[in-house]
Amino acid sequence: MLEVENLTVRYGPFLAVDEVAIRVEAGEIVGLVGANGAGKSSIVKTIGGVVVPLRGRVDFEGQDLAAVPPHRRIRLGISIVPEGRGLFPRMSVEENLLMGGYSLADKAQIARNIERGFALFPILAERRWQAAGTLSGGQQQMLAVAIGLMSDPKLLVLDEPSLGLAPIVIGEIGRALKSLRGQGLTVLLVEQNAKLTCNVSDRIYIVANGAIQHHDVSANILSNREILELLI
Amino acid sequence: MTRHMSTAVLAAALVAAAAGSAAGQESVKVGFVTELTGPWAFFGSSCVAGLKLAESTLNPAGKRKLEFVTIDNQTQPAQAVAAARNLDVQSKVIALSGPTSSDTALAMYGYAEQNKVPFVVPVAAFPQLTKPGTRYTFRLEPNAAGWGYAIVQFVAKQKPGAKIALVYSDYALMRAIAAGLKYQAPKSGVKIEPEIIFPQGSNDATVQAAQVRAANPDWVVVIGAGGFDNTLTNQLLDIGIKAEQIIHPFGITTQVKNWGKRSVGSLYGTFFDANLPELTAEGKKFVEDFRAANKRQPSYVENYCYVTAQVIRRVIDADPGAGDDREKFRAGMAALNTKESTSNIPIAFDKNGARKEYMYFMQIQDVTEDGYKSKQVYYTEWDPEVIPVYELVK
Amino acid sequence: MSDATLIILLSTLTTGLMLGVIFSLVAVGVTIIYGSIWMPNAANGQFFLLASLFVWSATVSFGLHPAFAALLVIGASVPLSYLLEATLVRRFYDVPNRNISYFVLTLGITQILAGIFSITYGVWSDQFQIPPIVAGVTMIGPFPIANNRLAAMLIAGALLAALFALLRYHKYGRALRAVFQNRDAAALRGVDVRGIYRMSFVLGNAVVFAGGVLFACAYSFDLTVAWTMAITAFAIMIIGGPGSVLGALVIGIVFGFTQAIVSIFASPTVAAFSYLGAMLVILLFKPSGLFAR
Repeated sequence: MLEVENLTVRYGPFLAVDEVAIRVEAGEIVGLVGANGAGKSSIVKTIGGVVVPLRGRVDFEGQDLAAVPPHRRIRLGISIVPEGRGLFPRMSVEENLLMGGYSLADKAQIARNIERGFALFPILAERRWQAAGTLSGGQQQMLAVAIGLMSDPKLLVLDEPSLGLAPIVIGEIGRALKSLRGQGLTVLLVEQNAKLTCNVSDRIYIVANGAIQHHDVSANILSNREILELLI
Repeated sequence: MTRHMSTAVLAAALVAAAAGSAAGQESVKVGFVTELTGPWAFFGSSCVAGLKLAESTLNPAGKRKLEFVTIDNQTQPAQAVAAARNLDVQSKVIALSGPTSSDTALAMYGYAEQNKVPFVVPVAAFPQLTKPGTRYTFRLEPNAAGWGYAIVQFVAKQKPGAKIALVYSDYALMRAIAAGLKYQAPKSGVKIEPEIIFPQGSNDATVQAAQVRAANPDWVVVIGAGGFDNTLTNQLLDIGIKAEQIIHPFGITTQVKNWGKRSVGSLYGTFFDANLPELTAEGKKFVEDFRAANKRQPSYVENYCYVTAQVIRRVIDADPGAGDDREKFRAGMAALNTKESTSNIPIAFDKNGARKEYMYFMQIQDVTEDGYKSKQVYYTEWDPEVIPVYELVK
Repeated sequence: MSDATLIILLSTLTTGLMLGVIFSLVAVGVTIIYGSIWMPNAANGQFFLLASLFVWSATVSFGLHPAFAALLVIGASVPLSYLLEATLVRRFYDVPNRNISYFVLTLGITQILAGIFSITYGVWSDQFQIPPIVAGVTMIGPFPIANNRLAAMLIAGALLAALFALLRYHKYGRALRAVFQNRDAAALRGVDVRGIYRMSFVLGNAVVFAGGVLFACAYSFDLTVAWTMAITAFAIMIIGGPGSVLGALVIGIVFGFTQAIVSIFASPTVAAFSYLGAMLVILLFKPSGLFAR
């Protein structure tokens, strides 16, 4: 579904991403794990179209994304939940969800998707009229995931969903991801938290210094002490 | 290339020499520094339109050519002074003239008095332009404090013990009118209530109109600035003040037209009006020519600029030396005893360069697409120092 | 209550509303543009005046009906804004500290427009008045109010309500607010951010134009109105919180009433200073404004 090839991103003299190749097949949850500054966010931004790569290509369902402007990519089926959650702080929870469905034309579909989000994270239904900026960190992250799902994406890219959250909240988000995978959603999970990522993903790419260092199915990674230590 | 140029220069020199010998003398230049742009552009441009009409008859064959050099002061005092200096030093004008705003006129006044350049002010009403000790400045328009005096005279004659409401914008000109009015009112037994001052930039007067109505005055003296003058007038009429109760200290064509039909019956002061019955034949022609050229009838601003040109002509005609010698020109202005060619009102200046002052009060009869009709209801004249104008307004 | 007192009370109320809706319109227009593209539009007063003068030309010089002229002028703001956006404004979208660039740019536009007005309209008349949209006077109890002002007030109020509804409930209005709050996130949700920039520039100017048009319907004016409006709009935006449409709306109305009420109990001069004083106090104690994000 998503195919990243030879991706190289450079900011001035700084090489952020070096010849990265990633494949995500339909229905998979794939983890992209690495420390802070490893180049994960640059890869996400390239997929989102905010950063233009020096070399390499990003294909989505066989289509080269190079010519697709950022705001059009969501219409192809790519939904990105950025690092920092990407909320609209002075809008209510509901309005944030409506913005999540901005790319949809069908009002009934939008209403259905809002209810689906509320079913996934019932606390959001309680906070429906509250401004997003006043929610707790965990609630904000749930809202961010719910927004990401509003556009009925084929591929959901989550950038650092666990950042700064309590373990119990991380657990809830992990649970939600598993249930979504059951419904056939494809997820690219970009994380520092190796444990969360291994628990929910099928395969893992480990990235460091802008390059893929290791790639394996999650079960193998979990059983490989060397790599686990590398990550922690 | 060089040969062509020198031929051209030679030809130009020959033409110039021929022209010079034909007239016998160089033309007399007068610097006309006025407001062609900036907030006062309308008045400066109107003034120049009046001047243009005068210029068409100003230089008959056989007379020494009189030439006005018009410069824009952008309604800025500093620009006015710079232009005055340029005209004085570079163009060697015999006299300065032109301003229609008291601010620019006062700036030029300082320059003219200091550098002994005769200065003929067509339209600028701030009293200090003819304060005691003035030597080189002469002003055609009556001073604004005097207008206030004249309004009280008019009101006291209509109804002894009358009560007037005074509403005005906070500009130097309006304050000067109000000062004269407030000085004279108790002396003539006229009561002022309420007095309301609007800051510059005001745009609504409904509340104040209601306050005026609550005070139930006999007349309301309305002195707004620019567009606000009309808003003020409309809102007073809206709230139930009658047109007959409203006195405008001055009325130029655009104002009267904008006051419109609903203001029929209102009064305004003026120093020249196209509707005056005693206009001279030349005055009537001036009105018609001006209307033809500018699609509106002239008011006192245009008349004063027209008359200013003629006054300067007369001074030069009376003493040919006045065209070359500023002291002689000044003496000629001081000795002048003539009449406005348009209305036969006498022109003579006192020791400070102020005229014997006068004012008409007109009542609006009708307002139409291309003009308005009004009739004279009162005329008064006075010595400028009948009230202490130079003490009242500093 | 005596009739005189009642008249003063009602005149205060209507004056507050009338000025309030005009102030709100202009401030909302300015704040929409500031909130999206960070342009502190110093030329807003000249745009306002441009609209007033165009209505004057259309009615007085070309004899159009004022209602038709008003619509025409507001409509004309759309292509004019597009043109300005395409030629100048767009070039600064990615410039760092573009608010400074925009301020200088709009100061330049102010000078140019003021210069043009001074050698055209400034020479044609010293005051401008357009024929009434609706003639006559309506009595509210003992208080007479010109139908024309009443109409301008109602139209301005309706426009504000429509604008508020657009921003609150319409998809594009929501996208516009989303861009105010988090432009990167808005792009990820499929919002064409540059498209919203363009739309907000056009919408903001149309609202300022509407303010100028309705002002010309309700009041006579002259060229100086550009400066007072520019200062008032900025003061409202700063007190309400730059980029806050609700702030501009509420503070605009408050300003109108302040001017009307203070001028009764003190004087019109004190009233004019009262809100500039309020602006300074707000800047001292809450620099981000009352309705700040």
